[in-house]
Amino acid sequence: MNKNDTHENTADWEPRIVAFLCNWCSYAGADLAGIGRMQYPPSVRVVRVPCSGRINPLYIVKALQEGADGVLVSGCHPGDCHYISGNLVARRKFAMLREFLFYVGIPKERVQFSWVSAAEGPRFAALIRKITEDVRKLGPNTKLAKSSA
Amino acid sequence: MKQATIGKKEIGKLLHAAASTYKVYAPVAEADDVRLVGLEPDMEPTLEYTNFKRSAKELFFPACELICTYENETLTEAPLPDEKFVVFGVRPCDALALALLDKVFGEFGGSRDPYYMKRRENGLVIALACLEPEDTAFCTAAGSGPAGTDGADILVYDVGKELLFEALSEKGEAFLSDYQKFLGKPGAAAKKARDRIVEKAKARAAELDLHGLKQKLERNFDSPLWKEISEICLGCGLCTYQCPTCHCFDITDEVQGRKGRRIRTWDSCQYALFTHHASGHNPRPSKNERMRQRVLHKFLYTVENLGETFCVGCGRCVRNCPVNLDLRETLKSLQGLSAQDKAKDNSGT
Amino acid sequence: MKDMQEKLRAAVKTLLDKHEVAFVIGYQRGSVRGRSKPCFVRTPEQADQLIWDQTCSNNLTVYLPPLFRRPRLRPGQEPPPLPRVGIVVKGCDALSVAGLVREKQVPRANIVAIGMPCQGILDPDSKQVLPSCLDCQHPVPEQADIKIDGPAREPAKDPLARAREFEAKPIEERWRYFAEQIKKCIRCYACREACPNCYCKSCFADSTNPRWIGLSSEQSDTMLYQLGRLFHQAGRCVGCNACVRACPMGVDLHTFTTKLLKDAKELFDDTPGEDTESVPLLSTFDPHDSDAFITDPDKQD
Repeated sequence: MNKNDTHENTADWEPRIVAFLCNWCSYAGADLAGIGRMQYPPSVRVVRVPCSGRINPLYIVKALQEGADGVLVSGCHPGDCHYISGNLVARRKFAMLREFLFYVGIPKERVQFSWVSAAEGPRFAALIRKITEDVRKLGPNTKLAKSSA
Repeated sequence: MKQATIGKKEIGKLLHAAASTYKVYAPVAEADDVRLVGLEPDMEPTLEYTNFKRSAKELFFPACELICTYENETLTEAPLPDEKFVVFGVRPCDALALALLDKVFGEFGGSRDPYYMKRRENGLVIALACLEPEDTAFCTAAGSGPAGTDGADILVYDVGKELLFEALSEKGEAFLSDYQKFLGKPGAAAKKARDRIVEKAKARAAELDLHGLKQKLERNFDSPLWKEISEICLGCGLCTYQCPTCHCFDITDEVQGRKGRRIRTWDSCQYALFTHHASGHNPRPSKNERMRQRVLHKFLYTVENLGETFCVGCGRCVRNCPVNLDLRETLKSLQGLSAQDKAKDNSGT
Repeated sequence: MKDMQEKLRAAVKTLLDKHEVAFVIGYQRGSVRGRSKPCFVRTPEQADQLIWDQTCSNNLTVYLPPLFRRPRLRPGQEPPPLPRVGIVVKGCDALSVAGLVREKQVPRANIVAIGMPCQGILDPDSKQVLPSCLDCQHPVPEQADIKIDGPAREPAKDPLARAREFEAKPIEERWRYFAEQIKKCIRCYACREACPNCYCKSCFADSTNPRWIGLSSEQSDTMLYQLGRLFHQAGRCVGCNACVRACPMGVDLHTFTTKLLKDAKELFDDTPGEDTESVPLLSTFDPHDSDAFITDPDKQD
């Protein structure tokens, strides 16, 4: 995180979103968006993982604790997983996690999940635009954030 | 001023007045519980309680304490706590616990805990003698008692419509002088009632017999009784957190890139990882050894090292243990062991 | 109630006489008013210590996983035989047993479950039935091997009512309530140790590399511990409320465990503890699972 990143809802505040992208589809899709010079907000910090099934719910909650304003997890479309079923197992986990976090008071827009394939550069750019706007409307995340974040 | 009285209804006024100079911690009713909290202007202290779930140790030895912060090459030590405060309403058992902790955090082993000791300097302890201790308390057996005077600056007696304050230290006397406009001179009836409380406390029979326990513990390290005692223990560590004399702690660094902070937090010998070595070996691999450690630490090792039993008989561990593992029963069973020669003891029994 | 106690003692004596089990885990009189405590009964004579009443609150299933943990073996060494044990279970405890069998932590054949119909556990001080017991849907342990006859509570009409009620509150109120509960938590880990499902040899909360959960008393760290532990129970928690009863500070965990049960039921039609054959819902998938929660940037909202 940049030293100048501010956590307060000042005029300078920009959403900081951590995105966990699966290597085979979503990361490649993001790469394609870059190669195609598609514009999207610089709000996303990407973490590449082999498969969306690798995502431990603790990563998501930890990102919020460390000061992320939003978390995105993106994987292959169901049926297209490089490891056959990683995203299918993950799908249930994410559905329950999002519900549970919403239940305790974390707005659904802060934690989002999507399927983006390697060919979907424009879709990835649109996704980032959407989540950035969703998080911008909510303002900085203070709920789970640690004081030293 | 050594002795003074105040009407029970006026105690709130005194404490609120003190709150303009000190941070005042007083018992306040919250939902279904009475807790020691920082007194706010809209709160009224209460005297309707036997004891608090959380002991006063957390006001002197907090569950989390910042030691230092660092960024790149610069280390900044956390400033010593400088807030002057008053703790009102702790029971004599918890006050004695502070006197015991003074021995550990004082000069023991040549090192001194500056944070704890500064808080002791800054803190004034006003204890409230018990009229009727909890049925799980065994304070008299543990060396304290409903009207014990160790660890407190002032001891308060409930003498009917009034409270009688008795200074036990210079600090206590100075406090009573400072607030004398709220206080009156104790009348004969109040003094008599105070004496009755002291006599009743002196006459209270020890709830269990702990004589000779130290010798038995010395000689029965390998007794199979430890396994029996710890069989139902869950290893949750609740006893150590609620105990007013338990003081084990952990020091961890929380690092983010080139900056971080070092904090001290409570730890518990009941956790499996407490003695887990970096090699992977654990000298206390199961609940037996950990239960044994807890009892020996409190009733043998501290007696040897500091001359004190580290148990004040507050009864919190008894009341709140999820499986009702009763320390009193444990001590009774241990008293059944022999203090004879080790060789005789462990032969086939 | 005394009748059930006599029948229980007789059943245990028979089991021990016939050497069908190495020992029986049950309840004995506690030393604090209104409490009972677990006990391990090894001989028919000891069976007279056993009691049964509305103070029998502990979920004894928590003692089972360590009994069946396989030790490390040297090459050529035969594994020691697993014990056969008896255990006294209420309805909720029986669900835990099924849950542990399903997760292969406990072999069903090595358990003799003695089922006690339950009227609800009483608070030791107020003598009222605990709030978490009011939502009970399984007061009678159907899956027990030895069924003791006796009165039981009426199953709750809607065991998920608490979750529904909480969901209906505005989001900020829910957060405030969550934060209030977290404030009470002293990180003693009694909830984890009392939970039969928390049998991991190495818990995420104790991990130092990486350190998931900071040790500080900050709200954020305590929230992460609770969220982490509770979410580890997603699709596994049977709603026995052992955690609620173990907590010394009265943290309302029931509101949060009920949500996990509700989602398991409504999203995946799964009730943990109902059977011993199914796979825990988060360990598997259905190709037709819903994508309703997925963000689709191409769709107009």
